[in-house]
Amino acid sequence: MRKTSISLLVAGAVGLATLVLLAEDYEERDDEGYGREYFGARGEDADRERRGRGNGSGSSALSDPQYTLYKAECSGCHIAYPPSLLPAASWRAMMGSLQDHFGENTELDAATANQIMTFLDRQAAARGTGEYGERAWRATVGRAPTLRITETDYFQGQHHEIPEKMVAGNPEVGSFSRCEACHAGAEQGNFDEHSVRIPRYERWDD
Amino acid sequence: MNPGILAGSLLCCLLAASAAQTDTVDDLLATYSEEGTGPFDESTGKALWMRKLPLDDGAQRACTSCHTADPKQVGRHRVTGKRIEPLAPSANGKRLTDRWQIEKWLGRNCKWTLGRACTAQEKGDLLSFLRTQ
Repeated sequence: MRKTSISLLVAGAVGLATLVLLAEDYEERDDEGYGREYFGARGEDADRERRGRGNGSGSSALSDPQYTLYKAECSGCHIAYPPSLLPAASWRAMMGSLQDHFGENTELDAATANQIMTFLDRQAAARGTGEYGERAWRATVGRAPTLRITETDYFQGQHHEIPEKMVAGNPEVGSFSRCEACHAGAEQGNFDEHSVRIPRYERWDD
Repeated sequence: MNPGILAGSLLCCLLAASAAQTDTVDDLLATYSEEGTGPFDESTGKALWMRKLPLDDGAQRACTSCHTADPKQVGRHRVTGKRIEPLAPSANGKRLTDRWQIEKWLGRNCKWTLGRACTAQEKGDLLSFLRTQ
């Protein structure tokens, strides 16, 4: 009886140890295979990552001397999208096609446009530009520059689980391009998932 | 502070603000006149404001698409839904005070609405209408 108990205990301990070791290697992926490269680290790891990169948001753009100009000229019809959500190549394509900006004419005189492009170049998604900037950049490397933040792999990785009824079918949201509808701190570059509030629905918890 | 002085300075500030609008629009109208226009007419401006214009792709566009038929009302961007503050100076003291802003928006929105830049006459008529709102 005693030998059996000890054997059971040892077997249990070995089993637990195995599970623990396996868990450390376990890579969390969701149903469609989106894993760390899109979501970044989770939990404690995420906090460490964030601390290592300073405040980890898109807020360096806000303290840029040209931010006021960017906001004044580029948020008449939508929020001033944080520049770190797209790479410089996308912004360049955007500024080069202001006469047809998603169906609208948003032309600017050359001097103002150049100033804004310099700002966007400085603040665009790139290696080492902070948590979101780095991830947005990583997911666009090797791809043709898109003009739509919502078309970037990074964005889609974060939002692909959200049902249409909560966005397009939701009169208080309407479109994924209205970041501010669910992310109150969007313009400040704060997209922390714990502060997401989808109008008419409970807090998003994935 | 003497209420009389307070009232007087408030009045002066208000007059200065409305004078700023008048100066900016007058400056622009003078510039447009130099390009060879007829007299500016506020009812022609109003008609232009209201006009629904068909475009090549079959869509209909007008100033009212975003700004509503009444410039004193809050408007909404017809795609993004973003709030647009009233264009009427009586409802929004900042309107028609900045020459660069006026030219910028007329440049963009004429092209979007009419499919081409507005003529100096059209711009003058429009401003003549808007300043009365």
